[in-house]
Amino acid sequence: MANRDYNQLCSALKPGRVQLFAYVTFDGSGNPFLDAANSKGVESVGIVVTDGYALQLTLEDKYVALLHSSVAVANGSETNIVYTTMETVSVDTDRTITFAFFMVGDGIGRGPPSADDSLYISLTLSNSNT
Amino acid sequence: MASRSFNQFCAALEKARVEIFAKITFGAAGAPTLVTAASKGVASVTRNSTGNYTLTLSDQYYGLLGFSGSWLVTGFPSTPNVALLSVSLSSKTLQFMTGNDEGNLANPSSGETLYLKITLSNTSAI
Repeated sequence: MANRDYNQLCSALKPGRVQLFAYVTFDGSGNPFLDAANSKGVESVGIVVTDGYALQLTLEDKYVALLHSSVAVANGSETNIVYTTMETVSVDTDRTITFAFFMVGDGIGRGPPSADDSLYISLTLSNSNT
Repeated sequence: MASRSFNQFCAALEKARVEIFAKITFGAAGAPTLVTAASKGVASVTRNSTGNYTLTLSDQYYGLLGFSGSWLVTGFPSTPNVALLSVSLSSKTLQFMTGNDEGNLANPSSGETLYLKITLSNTSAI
């Protein structure tokens, strides 16, 4: 492993920052699977359908607020996902965040990730009311 | 809120990293509103023209290490693309664009929310 002299502190004006990471894979029907070993603090993943397919992350704990999220798509060849957005954020009550995916094709349509897609999700949360 | 034993250190090769977060909601004609309680370290956000905004930091920093935006919207975002146009740390400003899926500058729609994460360096030491 890397053997470097790292700087361990990272400052912010916002107190109580927490970073959570999740790794999610999919089957051919868009059913998501959480890699629990690489997703500490994330309880489960599921599908919700309102305006269309959305991936729902349920966290193990409640947090005061979401500060930021990022989703990196990995695919062995070429992904159809061009944009990922958050559709709902309820980290202080339901412990959930939902993500929508928009695909290249005939225009840009909404749909589920493919079986070749996997997602590296990073969440930055606030765990303080201060 | 979460009562867990978190790991408090986060290693990096860059020194004196500072993370600034901003939450911006948009109204009619792309008018931005900074959610100040969720945007500590950000002084203001102003709209310059269509899809062109200036974020002013509260303080001066030595370097910009990262800039990332994510959208909270219902349905397809009006402007899925967010990118930096210019950076002037001496004047504490970051000019950024919002663009539609055709590659043109465009205003976010009313009700859309942008979360920004800005990573900065607060030292000149290498």
